[in-house]
Amino acid sequence: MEGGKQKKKGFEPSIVGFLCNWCSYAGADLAGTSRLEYPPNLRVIRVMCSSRVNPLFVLKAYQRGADGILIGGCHPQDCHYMEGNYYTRRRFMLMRRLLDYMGVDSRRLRVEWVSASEGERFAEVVREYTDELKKMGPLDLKNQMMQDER
Amino acid sequence: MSAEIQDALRSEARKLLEEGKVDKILGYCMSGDRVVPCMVYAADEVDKLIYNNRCKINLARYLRECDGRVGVVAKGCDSRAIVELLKAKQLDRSDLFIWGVSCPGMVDSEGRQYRSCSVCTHRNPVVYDGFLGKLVEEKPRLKDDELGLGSRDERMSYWSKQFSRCISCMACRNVCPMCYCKECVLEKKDPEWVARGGDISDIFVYHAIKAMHMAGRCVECGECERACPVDIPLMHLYSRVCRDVEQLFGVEAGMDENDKPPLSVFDLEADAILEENEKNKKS
Repeated sequence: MEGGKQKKKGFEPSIVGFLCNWCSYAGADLAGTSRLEYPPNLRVIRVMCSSRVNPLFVLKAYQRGADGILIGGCHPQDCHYMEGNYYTRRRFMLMRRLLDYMGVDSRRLRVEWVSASEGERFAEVVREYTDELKKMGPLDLKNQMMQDER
Repeated sequence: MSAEIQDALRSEARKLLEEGKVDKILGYCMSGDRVVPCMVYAADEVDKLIYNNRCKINLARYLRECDGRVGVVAKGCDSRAIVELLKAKQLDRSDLFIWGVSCPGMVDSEGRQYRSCSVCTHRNPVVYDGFLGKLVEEKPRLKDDELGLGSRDERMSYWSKQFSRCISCMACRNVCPMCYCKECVLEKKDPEWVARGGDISDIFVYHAIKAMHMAGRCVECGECERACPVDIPLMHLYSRVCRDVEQLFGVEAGMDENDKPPLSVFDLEADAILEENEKNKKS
């Protein structure tokens, strides 16, 4: 993850994607089987529900060098577990505000609802997010904080 | 006025102990020239109890560790912490007898008012069985962001500088009336989410996750700031999260025992609108 990251030119963001098993992960699967192209910057972690994602996971990913986090869940009213994504929605709405207050751009945390049939949309989300992060440049939380602490 | 409260408290405490309605009283007493929390078990000891403008300590922190029926003195922040603990089923209301007292705003040994007290908007207790003294006038809430941090980069460098002093002593967690978990994620070894003796990014994770855990829970007693040996203005972080919870979900911590924890409930339609607004705000 480290090599070449400092150079803004040709910067390839690393995105950690927490995808819900029932919707977004299946959506990603569909994008794959439909041979759709999307940037390889996304590292996918499958979770059983988007509400499984603890804010700790997000912070830890930033600490280990992620530039953006994509949390994918079922559309509201479509959760496999009836109401899991409603908790996700509240939790990360709040966390985005906290990150912003602590100096991390809240665009680096994104929550998207992608259903199992939306392969094209999934590819589009990843393309768009990768582009956005490319424009924003690296987060590099550890080094930035080390510089700022002096 | 504090003297009247103190006299009333002593006589009330004596009465309750003599009648056997409580097993012990949790209050404040002097130890040398410091005010410390103390437990009174017998009616002839009640004259130890004091109440003045140096009783800053949040007694809810100690209440958690009491068993049996307890009489407790509660200022605004103590009572709100008690409400929060009741919500979290950490206390049993029937075991408590609460004397509500209004708070004059606490000062340190040199007579300076604590920051948490100077911005306090709830000096009167919200829950009590008996009230001592008189209600005081509440102050309006200060405008957002007293730190006056401008851009995002400024905020990042501000917190980096603050966190660079942190020695991970966990005093802020230990003293917090709201941190009641038996097993704390900050201390977990397997997996070790927050490395001890790590670099500044570990400190960032530490404080960010603690702030997330304070969402809709922090009663802004300021104990974390007072306990911090390196003076990190932690309450700003927690207050901010609580303001966000109030703005987004309309719940203020420690005001009503029947409120639900804001992140464990949802409102289908309202949340959808919120989500839309948040998205538009940022772009």
